[in-house]
Amino acid sequence: MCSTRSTSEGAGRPSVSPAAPSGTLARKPVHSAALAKPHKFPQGNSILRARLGCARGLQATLLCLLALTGCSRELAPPIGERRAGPPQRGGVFRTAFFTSVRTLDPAVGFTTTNAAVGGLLFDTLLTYDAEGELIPQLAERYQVSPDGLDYRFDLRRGVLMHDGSELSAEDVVRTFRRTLHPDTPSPASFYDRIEGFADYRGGKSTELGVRAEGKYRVHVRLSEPDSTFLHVLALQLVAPLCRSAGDRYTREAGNTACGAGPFKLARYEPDRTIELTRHEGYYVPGQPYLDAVHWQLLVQPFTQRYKLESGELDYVRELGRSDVTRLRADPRWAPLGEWSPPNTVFGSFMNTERPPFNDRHLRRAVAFAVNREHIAMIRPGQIVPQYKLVPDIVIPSEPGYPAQRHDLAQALEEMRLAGYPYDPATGEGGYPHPIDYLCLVDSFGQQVGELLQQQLAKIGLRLRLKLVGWPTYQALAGRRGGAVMGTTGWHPDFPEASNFFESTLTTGAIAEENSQNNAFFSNAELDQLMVRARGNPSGDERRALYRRAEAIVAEEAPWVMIHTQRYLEVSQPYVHGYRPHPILTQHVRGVWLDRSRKEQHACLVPGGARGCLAGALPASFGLHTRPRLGLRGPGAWRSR
Amino acid sequence: MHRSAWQRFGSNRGAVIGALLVALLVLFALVGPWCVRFDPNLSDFVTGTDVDGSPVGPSAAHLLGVDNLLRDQLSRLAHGARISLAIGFVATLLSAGVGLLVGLVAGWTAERRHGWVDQGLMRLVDVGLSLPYLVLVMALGVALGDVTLTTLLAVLGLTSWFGTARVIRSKVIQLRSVEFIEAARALGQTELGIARRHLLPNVLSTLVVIATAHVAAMIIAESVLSYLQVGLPPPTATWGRMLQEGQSAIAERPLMVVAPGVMILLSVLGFNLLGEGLRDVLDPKHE
Repeated sequence: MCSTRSTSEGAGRPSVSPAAPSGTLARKPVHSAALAKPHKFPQGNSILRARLGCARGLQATLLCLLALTGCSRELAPPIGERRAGPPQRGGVFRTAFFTSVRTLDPAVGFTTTNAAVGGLLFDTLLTYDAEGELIPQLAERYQVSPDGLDYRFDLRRGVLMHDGSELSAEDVVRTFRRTLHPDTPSPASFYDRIEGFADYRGGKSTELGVRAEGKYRVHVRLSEPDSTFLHVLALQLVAPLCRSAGDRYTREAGNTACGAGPFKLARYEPDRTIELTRHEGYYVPGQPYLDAVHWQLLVQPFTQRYKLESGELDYVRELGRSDVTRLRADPRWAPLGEWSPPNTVFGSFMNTERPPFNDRHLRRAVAFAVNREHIAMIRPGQIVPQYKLVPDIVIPSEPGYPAQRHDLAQALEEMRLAGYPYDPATGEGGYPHPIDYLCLVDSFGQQVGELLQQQLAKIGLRLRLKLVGWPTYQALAGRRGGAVMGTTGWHPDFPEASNFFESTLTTGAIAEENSQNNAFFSNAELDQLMVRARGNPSGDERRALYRRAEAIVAEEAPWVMIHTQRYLEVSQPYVHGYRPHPILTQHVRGVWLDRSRKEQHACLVPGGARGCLAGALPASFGLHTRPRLGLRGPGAWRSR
Repeated sequence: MHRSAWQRFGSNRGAVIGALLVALLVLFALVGPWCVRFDPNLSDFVTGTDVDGSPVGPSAAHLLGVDNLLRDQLSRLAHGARISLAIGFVATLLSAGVGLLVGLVAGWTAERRHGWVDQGLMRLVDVGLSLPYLVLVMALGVALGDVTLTTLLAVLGLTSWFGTARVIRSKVIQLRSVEFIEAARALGQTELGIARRHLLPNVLSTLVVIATAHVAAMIIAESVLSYLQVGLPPPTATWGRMLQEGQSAIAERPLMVVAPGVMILLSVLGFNLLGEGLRDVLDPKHE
């Protein structure tokens, strides 16, 4: 699913502290290293002795750290070289996420991470081809009535779900009803033009305009034409689920996942790992190529790079500035990286329902005060300053197009209009209270937050960073009254500007919990513009409506748009069949592995010998810095 | 200190090195922020990047280079020294004060009419010592919400006195049966007077030794908390935070990690050597 609350990555949660052992040991009574000169301590002073010993331990740790920093700065070479060939079947594809996954339920899991995982677990009625064009998937074909109100989808025959049952129209209908059920905290407004939606969602009726017509045909009746309706059928929100998922959302369902995708869930440990295995009954002959896909969760970006180098991961995407610079500068790695399109917009939301940002002048002051060019300097090449909600890749900028801008004088004027005049020369005035800024700990969003602290201090706003983990971030940012200001972003679900506005800033996107509208911004004109845009089949007219919507966002400033980001996606040479998708994140369905390369590598690394084949290695297998231990064969490793 | 004590101190190479390191550290903390013209929390977008846009390394403008957010490393290091020393000293004062008081009371009441006081206090100490220190500090930090310098000082100081109290108690139990205490009691001095005039001066040397090493422990604790992002919030410059922020660029700009790492190393080394030196000097039985 691509309808995602995006968070820019960054350095992750530290797992091991170099100083932690000393600190924690400081309470233990006696430690062997501390007793080098036992006679020198006063009687009964074992605690002091232990402390001194622990301090020595820290010193040793830091000395080791210093020694480590002197290690080679050269990257390890890629494993082998990329060779063309026919797709091979088999192998485990391993990658990682900086963030975690709170739920696997496609009806409520709505993050980029969910999108990537769900993209393998669930098939949808429609999807996108490699160029980003809509194509049928579970629906073999569809018909739209001339008035644009009736959609009929003929399902593929013989599609097996993960539980072995055959996909039927009833499964599709049940999934729609489940996702739009009043008890399901899903962003259901995508489907608000389905006939009977309002009453059904409001719990007033059980009638919904989604019906089965026979075993393999689904009929959807809309109350008004919707230019985005086919797009929203490609979202995992309505990906058909097995009967076991039930007809309404339950929290427990988030730990399981049963759909019709090419992979099925094998193991899910929140905050640790997600493992998928091939769905043998998948309807596309010969696919998927991979035996399994493994995700490691909550892995720091720079750790991901180390794991890629060592071959522990086959592909990474969430790299920091330093790693991107090094990988691009290395001629061995540079050809293995590819930039994803900069289609995600990042910024900061300001809660329009809570002080001080219920005052539009303060929001505008923030929007004027932010210097995006400076922020982009922190990650040159990756970060592009962004002044409007819809990225240029969707609607290109042109002179005069409504957008926010950096203007410090105007920002100070807005502060004055808000009743908080600030004098930069004396530092007097400004908003008297600190403002909590919610961001993900160790993320690039945190770095942006620190830069915003500097920039907003120039107009008399003091930000106080509230650093939280991923689940807390999601909970607070999406809860009404949960956060005053914070980092946010949006990755498009489909290549239509309405997706940015509707998902993040319309009244329909507001919810008490899991609100996609973090700013809780409600503007009748914007809502109306989106209604008109969705009902308008003319691309030119829609663009005019979006232009006006962009002007509202620039003027009202519920968000300060800051940057777009492109990601360098890097894979080992034995990974084939992957290229960044224009819409779908980490779309690895078509990936296959050159197994000979990968398995040979597994024979060479400690602990990787299990299952690898003993055999001669080709001379071209370029393991320049690898130990020759692997040549001893797997038995040698096992005997250790 | 007595003249002979000074002589002993001067002849102890480790102690002298420790004192020198501590003196340099204090000097760096006091003078450093005044000497570096950059604000530790402000990015330098003018001279902070090199030709390829990466944070600039050591240069004429930035002697130790800049960090990932283009902030001057030396300036952050100097301000970090202030934070570390402030936390080290103040938290130690708190801890030593509470530890001394509890130790004196417990030691004086142990195995006497009010022995239950000692029993109660020592069980409290047992509980305190049984808890993983940093976990306890982190839990308290989270419970308190926003971490400020004051809350951090209070948490570190008030959760680290248990060991001190136990040592002081042992010392008091040892001292109270010594002849000069018995003599003071026979001469009619009150219990409080004995504690103030005789016990306190005799446990102070032990306390000074413990406290000196404790400063190092507090510096480490603060660094660990900052490293784990549960210490003082950003953008406050602390050595632990600098370590954490620099780790992602460790291969490209090792100085980002080496600089704060060396500062932690030298300060802990300095206080420990000084503590050992003081122990050698102040402990009359040592030789």
